[in-house]
Amino acid sequence: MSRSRVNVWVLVVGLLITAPFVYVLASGFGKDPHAVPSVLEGKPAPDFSLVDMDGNPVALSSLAGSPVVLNFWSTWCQPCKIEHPLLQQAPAVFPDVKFYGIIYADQTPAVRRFLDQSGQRYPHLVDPGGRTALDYGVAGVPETFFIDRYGQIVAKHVGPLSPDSLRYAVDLTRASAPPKSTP
Amino acid sequence: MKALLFVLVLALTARANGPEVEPELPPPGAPPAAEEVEALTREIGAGLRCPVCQGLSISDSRAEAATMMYDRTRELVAAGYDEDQIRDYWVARYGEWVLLEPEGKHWLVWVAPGMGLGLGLGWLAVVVSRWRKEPDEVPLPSEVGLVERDPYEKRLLDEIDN
Amino acid sequence: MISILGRTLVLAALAFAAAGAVTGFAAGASHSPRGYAVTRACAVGFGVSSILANLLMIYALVTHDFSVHYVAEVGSRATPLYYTIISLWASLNGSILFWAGVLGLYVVALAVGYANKHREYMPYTLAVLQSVCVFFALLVASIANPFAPVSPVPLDGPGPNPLLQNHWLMAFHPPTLYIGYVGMVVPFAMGCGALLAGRLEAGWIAPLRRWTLVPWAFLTVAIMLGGWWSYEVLGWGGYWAWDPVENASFMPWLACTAFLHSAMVVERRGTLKTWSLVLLLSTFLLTLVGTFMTRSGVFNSVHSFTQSDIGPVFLGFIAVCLVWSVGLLALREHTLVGAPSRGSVKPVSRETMILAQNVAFTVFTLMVLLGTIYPLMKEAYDGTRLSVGEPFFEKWALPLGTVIVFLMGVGPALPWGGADGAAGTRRLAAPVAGGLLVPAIAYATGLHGPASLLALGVSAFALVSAVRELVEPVLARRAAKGESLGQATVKVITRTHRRVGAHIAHLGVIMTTVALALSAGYQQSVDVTVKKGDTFELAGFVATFTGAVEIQEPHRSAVGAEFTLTRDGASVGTSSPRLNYYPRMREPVGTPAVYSTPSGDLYLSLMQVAPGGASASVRVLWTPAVVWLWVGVVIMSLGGLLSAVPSPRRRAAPVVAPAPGAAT
Repeated sequence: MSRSRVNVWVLVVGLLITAPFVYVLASGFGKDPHAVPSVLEGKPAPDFSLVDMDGNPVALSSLAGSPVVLNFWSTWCQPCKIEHPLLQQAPAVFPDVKFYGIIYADQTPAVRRFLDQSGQRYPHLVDPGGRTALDYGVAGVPETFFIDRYGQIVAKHVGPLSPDSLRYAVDLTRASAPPKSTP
Repeated sequence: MKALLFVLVLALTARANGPEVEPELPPPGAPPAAEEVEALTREIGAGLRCPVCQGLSISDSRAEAATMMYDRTRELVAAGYDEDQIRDYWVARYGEWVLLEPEGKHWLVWVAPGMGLGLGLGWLAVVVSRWRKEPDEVPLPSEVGLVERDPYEKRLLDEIDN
Repeated sequence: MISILGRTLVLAALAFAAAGAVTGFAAGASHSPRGYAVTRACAVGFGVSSILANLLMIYALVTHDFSVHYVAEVGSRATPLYYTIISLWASLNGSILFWAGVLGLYVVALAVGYANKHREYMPYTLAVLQSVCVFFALLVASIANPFAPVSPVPLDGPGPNPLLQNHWLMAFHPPTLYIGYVGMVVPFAMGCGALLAGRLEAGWIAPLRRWTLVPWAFLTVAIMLGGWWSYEVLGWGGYWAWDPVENASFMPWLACTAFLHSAMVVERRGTLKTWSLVLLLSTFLLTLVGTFMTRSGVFNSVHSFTQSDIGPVFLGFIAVCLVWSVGLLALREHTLVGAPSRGSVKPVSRETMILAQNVAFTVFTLMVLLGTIYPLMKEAYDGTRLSVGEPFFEKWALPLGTVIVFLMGVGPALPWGGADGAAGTRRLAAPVAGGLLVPAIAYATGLHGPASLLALGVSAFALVSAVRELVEPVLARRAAKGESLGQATVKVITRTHRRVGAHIAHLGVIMTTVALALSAGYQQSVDVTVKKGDTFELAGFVATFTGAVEIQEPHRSAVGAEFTLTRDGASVGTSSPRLNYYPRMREPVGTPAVYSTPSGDLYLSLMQVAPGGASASVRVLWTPAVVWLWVGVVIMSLGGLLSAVPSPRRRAAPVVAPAPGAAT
């Protein structure tokens, strides 16, 4: 009577459900669930034509031929202020790369006050309605896009840049090959 | 073995890969009446995910990023783009992640509950037919008095005793 | 000092739990009364040490002893006493300690309450229970040690997470949730006890059902409090977003509710034992998965407060429990032989409806589980991210919910064993009439949404059925025994509280369903920016912006916008939504102002105040019937508790039931 009789059916179905389940839960470790993935890496960068704080027009298409770094930021964002000094030095460290700040959801006077204090070492573009930010799929600030000389997005960095991550991404962008084909 | 099966299951759902980057929107249709724009926007926005709050739709969230997306969606609606075009527009920029409702190609997530329902109903039918075939109740002597009563009253007493 | 004392208590708890688990299994196998006595003593030892450890932590928090790691992490001198006490569960390590404390309460209650009863099951039950205790005590003793000493001792701390100290509901939602969540370990252990003992008889099903109903009732209210909290705090005007954390609390509830119903079939007919145990074990496993979802940082969520490296350890525990449950079922299922046949069951019967209810609840549970983990599955498979959100869940939840409410009306109307066609039809005539009449009236008075009308229809159907179930026995008693209406009512409630409680819970479900249908279907909203003195109008209310105020409190600062409200011309008071600024948070946390009325809530959520308070932007919502959602869920829970009250041993057979042995 009490000789153990294994219910194979329960065993097999149970394990078939539970083992993949644990596997899936385990696969989530080490990934940031809050990070929004970029679908734009390796794709042509969306064009824009904006004006900078001094009213000069800037269009991405006119910058072809040199690597471009676009940094979306705002004055209400603490991590942006953390990475700001690094970006201030960047144009001098990487003279062949064009740096642009794009202001994200902010008031122009607040930006002007902030830049007056820190000094403006590279142009900052006003983005009415956040249209350019939306085209780039920006979810929050800071986000930084690295665009190669052929106008492709090579990398996207979410969160404040460190000197290493900046150098790494810039090197990647400089070394980027021309797009394969597509007329 | 388990891993293999798992991969098989998933392979059934995998075909979709990255959307086109720059959707060339076809010329918009006729713009909706001005008073319909807000309702349409709210409806379409309810299916789009706010990128910073993560759980909520851009219609529900008033976070900065959601507001910008919502305003842009309203512009697109007012210009006469339809829901599919607007969804494609956002998928091209934020990825499929932006859709709160997985598209039809992820049919597994849609169909699996239905399969569960089918299996469940099948099981129900089997159990019920087995119950039905069980030999008819032989009332205990003490129950005889009950059984002879009006069936409803028997049930009632049954309940009260419960 | 407190660090050392705390650590001692935690280690004592660990030792008691480990010893109790070992002796419990041994006593179960050898039927040794002495071994069982030791097991119970260990259970009490664990309970007392873990409860004392919690009290000690509260003492450390209240006295601002920043030499204790957890106090340094969540304490602050500026935080009001009230929030200081509840910050016991404000952060990960404290919440695991609290978990162990609640576990202790249950363990003691079970060990003392059933000291001399259910001797075949109890040693195994306590053994499984204490094995779970070992895991939590280990966590508290090692990677989640809240008592770790801090050196140098900081002078002040950062205070608890602002979201947790923003609303009084936060004092109730987490403990209620823990009592519900942690409590599910008891029926799990009792179910394992039945499998290990190799028997599951009506004598064990009754306490099992009772010990399931208690955590179920708390979990029910906790889910509602969570929704209410997000309604009152998050400022978007909704109460449920199918967020992973919300789903985490909902899934065990679904599985548990299914079990409570299938257990009746086990009691009545002696069948469905294995299936009921699957539901029961799943309930506990789903609470573990839910905890993992909140604590591991693997899922994203509006309120995943706590991220940590505890995830892998916890997942390991989940894996062990899964393997244990599957293995135990597979190895021991054959011991649960069904009772001898109680006769054939017609297809149209109470049993069939309960089975259908089980199918609906199980599919519902699996749907929520799949929707919640599908993004993870997809990412594990090809690295792409996608979302499964509200639109997906609602497409499944609406039809399943409708079916469930419908079955709730059919089931109680049918007798056990089944009715023949004509009798069944007669029983259903009145509910059907109600189910058609109410939507017709609603339609005539201007409600036109098909989903809402359908929800109203099934609710009315189930309402007629439930009310009849409550009223009929009273009338029958009155007629049969000549008692007064009051007497008969009291007698029916006290003598048959178990089924009365169940029908009261069903009434709560109906109220909740109606409130859900109306609040989701007829919400109105508008976003406005108003200057001082401006007014706006919504749903018969006129609000006038009278100005902004700045508020300074020790732990936060805030801006508020003041509105006066009139409804249909009569002044009804003021409304002051505010935005709170905490030193630790970049973005403000809102406190929407909710003006509740029985017919609905006027909800003002402040978005922005212009510098100087010249203008304010608010989102305004009118949500009908929300209050009844909270009330309905509370009724549901109270009905469950009433049903859980143990029956007094029935003395001589009451006159109405001539055959005491006939049905139990």
